[in-house]
Amino acid sequence: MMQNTEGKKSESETYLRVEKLKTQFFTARGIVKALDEIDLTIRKGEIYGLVGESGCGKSVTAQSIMYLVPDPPGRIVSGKIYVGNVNILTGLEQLAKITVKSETNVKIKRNKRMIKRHNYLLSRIRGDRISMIFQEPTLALNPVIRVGDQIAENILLHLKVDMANAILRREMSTRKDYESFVQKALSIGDKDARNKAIREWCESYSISDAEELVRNIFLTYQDPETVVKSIEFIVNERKSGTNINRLSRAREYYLYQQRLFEATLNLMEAESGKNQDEIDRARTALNEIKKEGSSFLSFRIINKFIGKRIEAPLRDAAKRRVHELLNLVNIAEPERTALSYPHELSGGMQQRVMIAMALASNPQMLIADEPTTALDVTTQAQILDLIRNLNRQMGSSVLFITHDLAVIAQMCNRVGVMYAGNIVEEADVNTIFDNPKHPYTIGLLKALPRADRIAGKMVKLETVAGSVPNLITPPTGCRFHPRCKFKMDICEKKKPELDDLGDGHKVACWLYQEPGGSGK
Amino acid sequence: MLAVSGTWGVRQMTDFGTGDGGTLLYVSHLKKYFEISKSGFRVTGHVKAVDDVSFTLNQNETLGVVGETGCGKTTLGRLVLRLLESTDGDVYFNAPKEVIEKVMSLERELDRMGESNDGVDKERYDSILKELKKLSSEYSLTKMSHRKLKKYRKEMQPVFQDPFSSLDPRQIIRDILAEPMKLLTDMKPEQIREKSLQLINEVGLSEDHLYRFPHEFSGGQRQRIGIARAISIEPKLLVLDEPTSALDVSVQAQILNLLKDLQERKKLAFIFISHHLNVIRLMSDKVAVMYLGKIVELTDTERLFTNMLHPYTEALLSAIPIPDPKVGMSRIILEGEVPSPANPPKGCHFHPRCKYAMTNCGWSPRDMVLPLQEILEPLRVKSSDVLPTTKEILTDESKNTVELTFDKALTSAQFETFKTFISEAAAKPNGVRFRAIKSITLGAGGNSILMTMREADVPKLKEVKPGHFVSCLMYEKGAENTGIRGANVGKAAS
Ligand SMILES: Nc1ncnc2c1ncn2[C@@H]1O[C@H](COP(=O)(O)OP(=O)(O)OP(=O)(O)O)[C@@H](O)[C@H]1O
Ligand SMILES: Nc1ncnc2c1ncn2[C@@H]1O[C@H](COP(=O)(O)OP(=O)(O)O)[C@@H](O)[C@H]1O
Ligand code: SF4
Ligand code: SF4
Ligand SMILES: [Mg+2]
Ligand SMILES: [Mg+2]
Repeated sequence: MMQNTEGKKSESETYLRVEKLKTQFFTARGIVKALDEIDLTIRKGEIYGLVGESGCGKSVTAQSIMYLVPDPPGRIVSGKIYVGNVNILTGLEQLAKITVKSETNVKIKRNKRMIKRHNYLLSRIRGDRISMIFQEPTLALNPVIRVGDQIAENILLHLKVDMANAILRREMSTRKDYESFVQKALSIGDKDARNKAIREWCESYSISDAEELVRNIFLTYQDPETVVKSIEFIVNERKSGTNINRLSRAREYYLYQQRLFEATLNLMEAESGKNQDEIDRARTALNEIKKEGSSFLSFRIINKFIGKRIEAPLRDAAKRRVHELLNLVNIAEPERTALSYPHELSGGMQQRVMIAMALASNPQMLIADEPTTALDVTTQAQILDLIRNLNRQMGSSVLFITHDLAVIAQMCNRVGVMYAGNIVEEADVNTIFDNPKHPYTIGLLKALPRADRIAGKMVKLETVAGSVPNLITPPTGCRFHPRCKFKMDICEKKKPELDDLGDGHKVACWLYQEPGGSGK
Repeated sequence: MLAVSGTWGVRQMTDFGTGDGGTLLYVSHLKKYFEISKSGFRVTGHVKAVDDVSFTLNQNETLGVVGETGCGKTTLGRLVLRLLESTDGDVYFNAPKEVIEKVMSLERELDRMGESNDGVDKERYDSILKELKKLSSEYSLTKMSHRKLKKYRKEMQPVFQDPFSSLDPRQIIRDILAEPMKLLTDMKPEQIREKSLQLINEVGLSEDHLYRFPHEFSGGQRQRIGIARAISIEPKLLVLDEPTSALDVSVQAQILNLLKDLQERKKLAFIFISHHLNVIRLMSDKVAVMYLGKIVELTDTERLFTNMLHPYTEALLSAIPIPDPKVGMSRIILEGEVPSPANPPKGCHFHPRCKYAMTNCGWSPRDMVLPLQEILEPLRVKSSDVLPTTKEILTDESKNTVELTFDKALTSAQFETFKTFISEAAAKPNGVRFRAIKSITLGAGGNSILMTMREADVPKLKEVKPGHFVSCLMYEKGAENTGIRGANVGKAAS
């Protein structure tokens, strides 16, 4: 925790920090050194672009952050990944012991129990804090479940407490409860701000499906009396007559589960700081909460048998939120789409569904791995717009992965250029395009065909000779050296560090640093 | 020199002999309708994958074909190569100049007859048809016997998107390269070996690559091999279907340069299919923009990118991401997606997504259901006595009508209110579909309203400016709108 509290002022902006991340795949042909100790920080609310040719390790970076590296053959070997201020790789060494005898002879001893606990925690972190949109929606969507149900499942997994609260609030509400909201909303002059308030309010009453109606009411009437009356009508229409006692009990239980999770996270956070006092305190807190568990014994038994019925109102509420989410991602007919199976939807629609699913749990960070590579330019433009708007509206951070520099230019605030398992250049987007430093970045930019420039038969593109090397036997020193026009002797021998040239423009290339100087 | 004006017009083909060696390819009214059968037996409909496409291509010239997925690009390429049997239409490839001229002039005459209002000279009409039929059975690839086709096969070759699946994994490169030469020419093994070596060098690989298997190559190298194979028998035309879509930018640049080199040296003609507009601009002399099986705009590349005339082209081009963070996008986001080609929109296929659409562009009952629901929805809460509750919205495409049924009969005041709603909606800038309602009447029992839509016009590909072909009703006489503002790609956002 030491360095955390210390750096807090300057780094309060950081949402994700990756340090010296090393991920490898232990295959029969040898060890694929996919990530070679990469560093990466993503600030709150920014869109960070990761760009590079295929096979450079972009997807492995995303998989590592999500802790979804396929194992076997892959494992995160070392490094730290801070999400907020929790290092999700805490205790990495205890999860598995890797003994490398030779490239093709590697023994991995896994600690099953530890891995199970770790996976449980991470599965929660994944939905709660970070969500991911995959390149291939077909791989991420379950083909035999209606997409609406899949999204609803995701909502249920993460927002049970909120939804139980909202339903209880709705069921027990009377006209009086709406008055203060109506007063407040009528007083908001700014349309966007008011719509946001309306959205939140609808959500807090689990009537998201009526959001548009409520908005229309506010547009049509100014008189509080009429508005309240109309809203009462809408809410009443949506009351479901749920068994309130049982739902309250369920809420207590969900709350308990959530606190348990948070306490476990706290313990993890403490453990990553190595401050014994804090660790002890976190452990005690966790045990306290565990004790409460006994009071839920009877409920747990009931839940086991009629859990489906208890959850029914939640499920119903989740469905409504599904429609709202599908609306948010610009799907024209949410009702019909929710009932479709993935294969019945076009590529663009599937991608929208994926995004809706990723947003289902209100994550603070979104990882998008080539979300538009398989799509038409027109659909791509729609999806990019969508991600940009969501980023703006919700203020969440985005890690945007693509091999298309044009998309980077249109989307991102900051850019990391990746080559063969290293980040070789990082800067804000204008710097990357105006003043690229690394020979690889320069090469990529020159190789781009550009529709905005006069082109024609006479124009030839500049090229970067060769292609991305296999990462079982990557080139020594600077991994780019076999393709580099500026190669020097040292480039083959020693790996250049990612060095800050000032203003956060970082480059890993011997052209810009003294061999002796950066003795890191 | 590039021949620009009129040389590849569909019917206005006048100045032969300019350009680099005349018309190599004339595609005329080409159609491919795939049958859809639900149960496997009964044909329940057709996908018009390519619907009446015509263009010409000169030697040493590149036609770029762009459009969203499913618009028929691949199908068009396969039809031209006759890897797919066409439903109708002709492909004249490498035919004598007089034949092409003759065909075109006959087709022109037919068109004139079709358009004229005076009585058609039936005799002349039939004799033209007969003559055309004779010419096409003799010279059109689509009608030719397979034996005769062989002669042309070797002069046109495909290059596909996925370089891996198009190479046989069990053969070494030497045999892969030799195959077309063995099948389509009578070269001796000795000559074939020599030629293979020359080819592999020509595409930037070396001799030892000849003895390897496809899986030992990278994507870019495999694509080089695909190209080497395609040019092995000295074709005049390459049909390149997304040849670089599976490749990285750096490798893409290598392949594109290679193609340009080869074209220059061997005077090849390309049909270059891609949905990547940045690449199309770099590679093509002229571009055909396709939408749902039809060409909607066809002109030379520079003009298309700077002075496009079709609304779809404008939207498509405005969606190109420009690799410069300072160039904002003046984006015209197309709403929705490409409609199903099995059941395309009436009139102009593009009308549901067109921001310039006019009342005659094809608005039909099915375009009205959702918007009507939208209009009626808020009424449900506002005050329920404005209108009775809607029971159903029924459409009849053949009669061109929409019928709304209510649970109670409407008073005449309510009917007036309804009409006001419609005219309010029609007055909005995007209310064109409501303006396309020709009449609104109250049904017999008083509890239904019947709306009839105006008839649709169907746009045809026409030469709007010299050498610039567009299929859009805005360029007809007396149209409600008069063309797009002429956007430019990548112009800075103001
Ligand atoms: N063998 C077939 N049977 C039935 N329909 C087909 C067949 N081949 C293609 N189609 C349909 O014809 C239309 C045009 O397809 P085509 O493959 O030519 O599109 P495309 O423009 O090449 O698209 P993409 O950009 O995705 O490659 C599509 O609607 C497709 O579904
Ligand atoms: N499951 C896996 N097994 C073995 N190697 C893998 C696996 N996933 C990725 N790799 C290797 O890791 C490297 C980086 O891959 P990836 O992150 O997918 O690249 P990209 O930048 O295209 O997303 C490549 O060399 C790839 O072959
Ligand atoms: S370190 Fe050397 S080889 Fe690597 S990019 Fe820089 S100059 Fe090229
Ligand atoms: S005819 Fe022209 S204006 Fe009308 S819908 Fe089609 S593209 Fe738009
Ligand atoms: Mg990837
Ligand atoms: Mg295709």
